[in-house]
Amino acid sequence: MTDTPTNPIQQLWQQQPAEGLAMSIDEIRRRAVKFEKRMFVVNAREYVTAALAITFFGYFLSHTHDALMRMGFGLLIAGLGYAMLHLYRKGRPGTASEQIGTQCANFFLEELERTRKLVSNLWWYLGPLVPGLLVMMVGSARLHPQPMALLRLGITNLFIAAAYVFVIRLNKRAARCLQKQIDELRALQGTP
Amino acid sequence: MIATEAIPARRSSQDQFYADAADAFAPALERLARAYETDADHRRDLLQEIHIALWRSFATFDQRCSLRTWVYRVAHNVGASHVARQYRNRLQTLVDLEEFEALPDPQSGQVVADRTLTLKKLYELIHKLKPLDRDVILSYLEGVDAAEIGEITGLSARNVATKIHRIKNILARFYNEGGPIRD
Repeated sequence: MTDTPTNPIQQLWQQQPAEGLAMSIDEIRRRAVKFEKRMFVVNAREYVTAALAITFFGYFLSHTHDALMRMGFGLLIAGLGYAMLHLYRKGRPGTASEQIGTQCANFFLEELERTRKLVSNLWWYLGPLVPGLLVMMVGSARLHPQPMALLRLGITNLFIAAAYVFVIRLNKRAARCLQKQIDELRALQGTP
Repeated sequence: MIATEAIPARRSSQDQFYADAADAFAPALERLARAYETDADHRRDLLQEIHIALWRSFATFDQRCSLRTWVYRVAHNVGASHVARQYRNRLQTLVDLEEFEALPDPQSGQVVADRTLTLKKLYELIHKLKPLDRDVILSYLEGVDAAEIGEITGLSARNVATKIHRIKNILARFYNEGGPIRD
């Protein structure tokens, strides 16, 4: 079905020896199921990490007697749960069989747009943790009002704030970079 | 859940389309997988992934484009996703045809007559290209005409023509056997 090669390089390219991948339809079906399972495991990794963090916070929640600290851990768990739910809903690429046959530029554009939206709106994964962190900060200061303890708490919170600023800047840079690629792609498509 | 959802209902036409596509394009898909992955084991996985994606895609194939256009779209999209997934950190280091054309040719003036060496250089060139430019050059090498390359990639006719012109210049630069490549 390939067109007749019209120049030597096309000829050379098309005449490469092929190893041949012979798979029956049943084999394809079997491997499709296996492949889906493998993808499921790969996608589950970040959820497993979140589940471990939730277990970790859950342990402290059940072992802390201070009401404010318990509330802080509870809010952190709820925040992580919300972030994971958002990632599950918005972070996954569309079903392969629905989009895979679209023109390459559109496919690529959709993927870039999805990623840009995800990185430019950070509050869905940074925001939900803020209430828990704030409550824990207040709870910790109330439990340990000594000057040295407050200083340690202040330094810890400065690190957390710096990490937030770092992540926000990094993501804004990534979003700008993605937007540039989107603009270039639209120009190549001939769309404004 | 996973296992049953992966298998669409319209099996017969889906299977038939896949069988036709595999018969006609298996060698082209193998070449395409080589162009997207250098490692032999990963390449086998990628080729398998392309075949699976192809079979699954035929559940929604409405024949609004030719079988070949559909096959190349699916294969290129799987290949481009593979590049994005495997090389996320160095995606920015890939170049487009314009940048590649501007690079100095280390073997300028040297005629590359050996077929194996020519193919090796060709793959090196392809592996450096950004996904869309890779789609264009691979389609060109498979003998697909400019109009169908536009249908596969979604690029405007003017941009496809410019890219093909660049491809010809680049290819002529290192495949000088008996003069420049003919149209």
